[in-house]
Amino acid sequence: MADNKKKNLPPNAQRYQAFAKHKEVKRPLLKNCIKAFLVGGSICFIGQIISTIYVYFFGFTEQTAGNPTVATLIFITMFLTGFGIYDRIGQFAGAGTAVPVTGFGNSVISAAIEHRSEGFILGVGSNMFKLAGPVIAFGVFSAFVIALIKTILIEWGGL
Amino acid sequence: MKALRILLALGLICLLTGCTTDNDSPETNENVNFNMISTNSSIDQRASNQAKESISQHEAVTAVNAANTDEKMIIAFEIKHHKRFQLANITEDFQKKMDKEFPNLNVDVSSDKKLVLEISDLEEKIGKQDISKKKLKKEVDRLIELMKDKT
Repeated sequence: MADNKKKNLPPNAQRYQAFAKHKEVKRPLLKNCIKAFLVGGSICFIGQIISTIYVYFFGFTEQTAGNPTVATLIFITMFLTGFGIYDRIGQFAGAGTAVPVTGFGNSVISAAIEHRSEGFILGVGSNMFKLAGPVIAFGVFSAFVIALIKTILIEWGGL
Repeated sequence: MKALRILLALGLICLLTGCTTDNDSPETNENVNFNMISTNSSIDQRASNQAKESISQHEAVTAVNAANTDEKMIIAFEIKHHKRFQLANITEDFQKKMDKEFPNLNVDVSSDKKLVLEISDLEEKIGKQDISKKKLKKEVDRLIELMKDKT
């Protein structure tokens, strides 16, 4: 609760807040960060291996290998989510599994699985992007803002 | 709170040390990995050899490959890993340098791993005289297309 709101509470409630704060289990922030760093790093490491395979054994350059790498990672995530393994990893690593593209894949696929019983169109189709929708919406919007800034800088800033 | 502060400090240190450009004076590097193609090969590769020698002078470069036809030249290089922050600048520098050095050739410089592999294969073929002039031209055109491919 915000501090200025707390001041308006009756003294009993304030005392209770202080007591609750004292008893609250502290989040192991550093430990969580390290876990997220290690697991997220491993996911990116696997991605790098896939990307290198595409460069060495297929006709992709470093620049063009990005798209098939993302597709492969999401494909692997699909299986892991389906078999319930990704949830376990997510529980352990938190943001480490949510931030890479696999987290995005997981959010689409798990929503699709969850709403399977409601039918394909109104269930899977309409609920698939429940979690991923905001990511796409704000991603597109921020890309638009950045493009606008870049255009302004190039056109009038003389960059 | 304390942990957050430590993390922030660490992040800041990484950011600051990562983005500093060091302006060391260029010194010659003797461990650069490149092969000269013998000049008695049927296809003239003197321009490529000259370009390789010129690029290998740069201290950050670890490997350089090049091949040329009568009109075009393609160069691919690798640099030390910690210099990758300045990769775009270095590539641009090389492109300008090569354009100046070979005004009658159409030069394309890249740092892509794929091109390093492909050009080194091509060099081997030229060295073994395993490739005709026509085929070389075709191959160089294909590699230039690959270089410019963005998607």
